[in-house]
Amino acid sequence: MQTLREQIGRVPVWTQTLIVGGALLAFIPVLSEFQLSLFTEMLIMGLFALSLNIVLGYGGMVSFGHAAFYGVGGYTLAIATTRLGVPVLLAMAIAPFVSALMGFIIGWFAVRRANLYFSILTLAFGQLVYLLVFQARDITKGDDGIQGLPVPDFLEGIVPYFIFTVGVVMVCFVLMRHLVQTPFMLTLKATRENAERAQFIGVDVRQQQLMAFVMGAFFAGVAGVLMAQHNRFVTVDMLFWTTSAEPLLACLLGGMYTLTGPLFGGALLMLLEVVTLRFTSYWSLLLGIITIMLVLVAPKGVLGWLKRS
Amino acid sequence: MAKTLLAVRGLYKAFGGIQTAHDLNLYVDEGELVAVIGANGAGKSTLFNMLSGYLRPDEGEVFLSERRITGKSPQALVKLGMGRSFQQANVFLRLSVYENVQTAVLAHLGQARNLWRKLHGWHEVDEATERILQDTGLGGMAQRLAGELSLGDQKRLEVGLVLASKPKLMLLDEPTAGMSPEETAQTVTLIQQLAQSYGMSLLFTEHDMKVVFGVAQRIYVLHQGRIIAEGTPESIAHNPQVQAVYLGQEETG
Repeated sequence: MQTLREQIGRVPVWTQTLIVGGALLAFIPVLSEFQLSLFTEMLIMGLFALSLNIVLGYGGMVSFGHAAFYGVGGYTLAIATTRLGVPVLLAMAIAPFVSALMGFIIGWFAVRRANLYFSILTLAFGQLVYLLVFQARDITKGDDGIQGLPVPDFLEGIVPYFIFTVGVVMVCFVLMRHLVQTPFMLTLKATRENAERAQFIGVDVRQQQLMAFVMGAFFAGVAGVLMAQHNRFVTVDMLFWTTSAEPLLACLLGGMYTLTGPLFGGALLMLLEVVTLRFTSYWSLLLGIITIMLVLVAPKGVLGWLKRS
Repeated sequence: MAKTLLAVRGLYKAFGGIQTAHDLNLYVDEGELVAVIGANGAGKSTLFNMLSGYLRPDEGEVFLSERRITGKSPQALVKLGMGRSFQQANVFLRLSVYENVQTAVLAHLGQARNLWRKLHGWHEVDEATERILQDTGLGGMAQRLAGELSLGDQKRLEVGLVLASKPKLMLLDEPTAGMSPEETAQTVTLIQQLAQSYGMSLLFTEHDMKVVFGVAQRIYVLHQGRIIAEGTPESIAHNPQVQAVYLGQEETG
């Protein structure tokens, strides 16, 4: 196992990612539009889970407010394009930075507390953002959401958008893969393991955690933008706390101490959801059972579980 | 005369009316190995916590190389040349031994937030890491998880983490607590060697009197938050007051 991993590890990450991306694109001719759309959503959920994993897996901080950054990404795109007339591509590029800014503001407060208090703060801030968007009807149309997001010509249609999504998720993945190999991430893991010791080797723990939080928010913003553009609408559900639970479960499902685990976890979760909902409306029930099984049988996620056995 | 590295003047600390530090005055010269002894509850940990920035003293001042450091944060103190170990080995359990030291080396180089450079093939960091692993005798277990090491090895690793910041003063809180006699002997030799080769001063607490009298050049005796005696190991061993409140207690208890 180790040697195979080492062999794979010698292939440059760009090549690896291109192979996977190429394989995904090769499915295009054989998949129906519904299936392609599902694949798109799976990739986006995978990216959303990856973004949380920076905070959760590497940082050891359980955030219950990650939907805020996903939703802010989507809403920034929607408001900028439908209300302010910003060109779509420019709005798509700016929105993740707005999410990151929001991450900085919320994170600045949240990293001042650890463990449960951190989680509660993120939950509270997340819900606060939800309520603000819900109430500001003049700008956000409240619970109606914003429909009819404009689409640039080259993204018109299921296939081009699928290709676009594959590309964006690939770039994000390569960036994260790079991050994992940097001093920043190693130090972040050290703060996760032992914040006290990290402090006593000279690490500013809060700054390290805040940076991770902002990065997580940025990538969640990218996922939010992708989903908004895919649906061509945004609703306040994107910001609700149950949306924060989805990437959390995806990280559990895929394994939060691995880089790729959450990507698979997110994709799998989305697949299960869509497939289950075709046959029964008891998706939440199944989700509950999956969660219980995961925590009891495979707390390190499916990938972690496979590695062990 | 050697230069004074650490100077502590009139430290007071009370917790809910109980004085755990009462007018503490002490110093450590450059290159000196100094022990603080005292029974449980004598105030050794409080003293260490105040020196390392964990606790803020109610009154009094601490100077490191003539610079006032009272109330500075632990991470600031590390940069000024103070490192510490804890009574319970305090390492990064789910990181490898190598990564443990590497993290400390990166922090010392001010690279903890570097997002651009890859760790792999960074010679300066690798060299510093490997040197510390060798100096602490952990070279053979570099790839093992810190959590898998024996307690003695974990404590040595913790010393390695402290070394990475190239401290002028190392505070060691019971460096041999929970160790077998064999491990204790090894650790004592190691600490003495490291203090010399890294040119560090040492301020340590210890329960094992053999270690104290074997390592320390000077000893402070704490009792109920006060320093009741100070001197060379010999003078402390023969001090009647110390024998009465501390050494006697040790023999009977």
